[in-house]
Amino acid sequence: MRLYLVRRLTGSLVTLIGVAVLVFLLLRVLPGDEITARFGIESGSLTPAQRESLERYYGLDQPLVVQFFTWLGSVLTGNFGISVTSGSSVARLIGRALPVTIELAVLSTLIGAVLGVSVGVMAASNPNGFRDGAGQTFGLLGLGIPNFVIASAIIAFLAQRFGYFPAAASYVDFWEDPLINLQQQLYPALTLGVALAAATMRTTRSAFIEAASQDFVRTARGKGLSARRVKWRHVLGNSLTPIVTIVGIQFGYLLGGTIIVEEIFALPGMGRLVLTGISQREYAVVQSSVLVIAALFVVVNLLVDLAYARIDPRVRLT
Amino acid sequence: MSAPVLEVRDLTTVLNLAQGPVEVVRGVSLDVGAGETVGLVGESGCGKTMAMLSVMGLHPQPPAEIVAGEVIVGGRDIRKLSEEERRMVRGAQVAMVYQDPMTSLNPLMRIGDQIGEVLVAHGRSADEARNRTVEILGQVGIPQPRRAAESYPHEYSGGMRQRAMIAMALALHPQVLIADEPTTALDVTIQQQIITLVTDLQQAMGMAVIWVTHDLGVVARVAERILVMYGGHIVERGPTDQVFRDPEHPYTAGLLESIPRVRGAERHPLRQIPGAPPDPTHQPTGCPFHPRCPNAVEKCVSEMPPLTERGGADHAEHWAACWVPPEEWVA
Repeated sequence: MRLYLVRRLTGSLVTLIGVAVLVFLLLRVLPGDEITARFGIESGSLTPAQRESLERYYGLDQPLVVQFFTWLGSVLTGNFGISVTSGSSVARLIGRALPVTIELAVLSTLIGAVLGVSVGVMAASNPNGFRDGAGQTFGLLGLGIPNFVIASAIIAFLAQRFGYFPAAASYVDFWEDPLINLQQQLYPALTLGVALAAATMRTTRSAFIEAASQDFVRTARGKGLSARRVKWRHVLGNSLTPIVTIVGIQFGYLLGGTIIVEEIFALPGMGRLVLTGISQREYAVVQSSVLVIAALFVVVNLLVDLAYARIDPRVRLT
Repeated sequence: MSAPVLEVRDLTTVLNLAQGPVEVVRGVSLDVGAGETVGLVGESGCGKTMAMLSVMGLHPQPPAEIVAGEVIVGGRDIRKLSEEERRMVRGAQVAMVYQDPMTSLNPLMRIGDQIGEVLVAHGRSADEARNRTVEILGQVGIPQPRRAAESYPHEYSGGMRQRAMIAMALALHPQVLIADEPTTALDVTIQQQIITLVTDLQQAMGMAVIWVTHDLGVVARVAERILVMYGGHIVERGPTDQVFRDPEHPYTAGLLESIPRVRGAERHPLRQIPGAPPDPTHQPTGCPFHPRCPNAVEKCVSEMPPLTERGGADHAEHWAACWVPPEEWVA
């Protein structure tokens, strides 16, 4: 188990370093540099001397390696730089957007997992029966209907029934007013959750059917266990690995922000932050956001690996 | 024979396939007396395992379905019981040990929990279950039973896992143990240990055992009576020594001749029955054995012979389903 943990941790660290290098290089490779970004077309009229002094000011005269480690050093000490357009620190911007995204991700994943696993088990309990057909139809619809359609339908319903229109300016933090906050988060979470549930349902269904055909399930029934115990303990227990995998991937993906849903429901999350950052050439914002998102993704993957070991004792040996 | 603890009457199980129902167990009847050992033999694909799974109610549904017959345990036809009552019979009165111990245990659960689960499902308290689990693990010869209970199946060899399976089956002192080729997947040396273990435990606990096997050597050693199955039918049954000495069905005779004998007067070149058991979807008409039978006559092709009692004072309780008496056999 210790070896397993050490291996996963090392893997995570290597991934993170890789992401840092990649993000750093990508931004250097893109046409234009920070000076161009800041001065726009006027940067063409800078004299070589002015440009040189600006480069020295921003540290751009240093070799790439030095620049990388300077940046990495400041990121590690929590200094993500300053957003040029808003003037506030990038750390503060991320600090505001990240909780919105994390809350949305947690809620959507919960809805998706609970709905997906229950419909999946229901469908798999009687393959090709009526419930299976209903479950599969739900799965196809959930996968097939794009997010923005579901979202628009929900918004139309909300506006008509409650006269409610989402607006970014009116977003309320959970700590300020949990009730209003949950109201604002619930509908986007439902929108995302339904789509996630469809994928989880299909994974659950096939994993469950496969596990149900195993010999040990026959043993369990032969012992005189109740049908319920056989189903939830023995069959579902042995279908958990693929389910955890898909739910983990979904959660990690959601932590990167969901541009369409955030946009429609006017949630000031990571998706919007990155999108605005890109359109305004806010390199510091984009660079740091991507790094934070990647770090979270790596952490989620690590948690999924730990879950595998928790589920299956054989994994602890590898 | 003492009063039967398990009676099966005309059990018929079909597989509902796309081309229609296919009979895999065809009117099987058998009695098992208290403490008795019965051998159920036949090649693979003769319906032995499906018959036993049907008795337990563990036949894979779908596609398998019991369409007729009675399974009487403790005076009650379990097919007429509610699902809950049936559940209480399984594992407590009739228990089963399966062919492959490598796949028959849940890989994610500790061995002790898997045994304790049986006890709890049948109304024992958690404390009782824990104590009994350690006790029974010791009884089946697993060293350090307390530690074994905490282990996972993958930490155990095939032989040890089969011991754990036996412990699980016997935890509640069932009256009947169905041992479905429990040694097939094991090394030869381990096979002997498992056979000895089951016969020892049988004597200690007084349960009846149905040995399902294609190994006639095992049957000769352990079984008082033998049932021979072919093409879903019981084609011969009787006391083991009688059936071995004077088989009344050509299939039984063929099986006996396929046993290698390397020593003594009985030494003969190894023979085999040509062909293979019928595919249940293409059952021959009449007697299912006639395409492979050297003694088949015209009637065998058209009509299935009934299981009839064979005469003679020394043929007590010896039944066979064959139109042609042994005196008229060509081989």
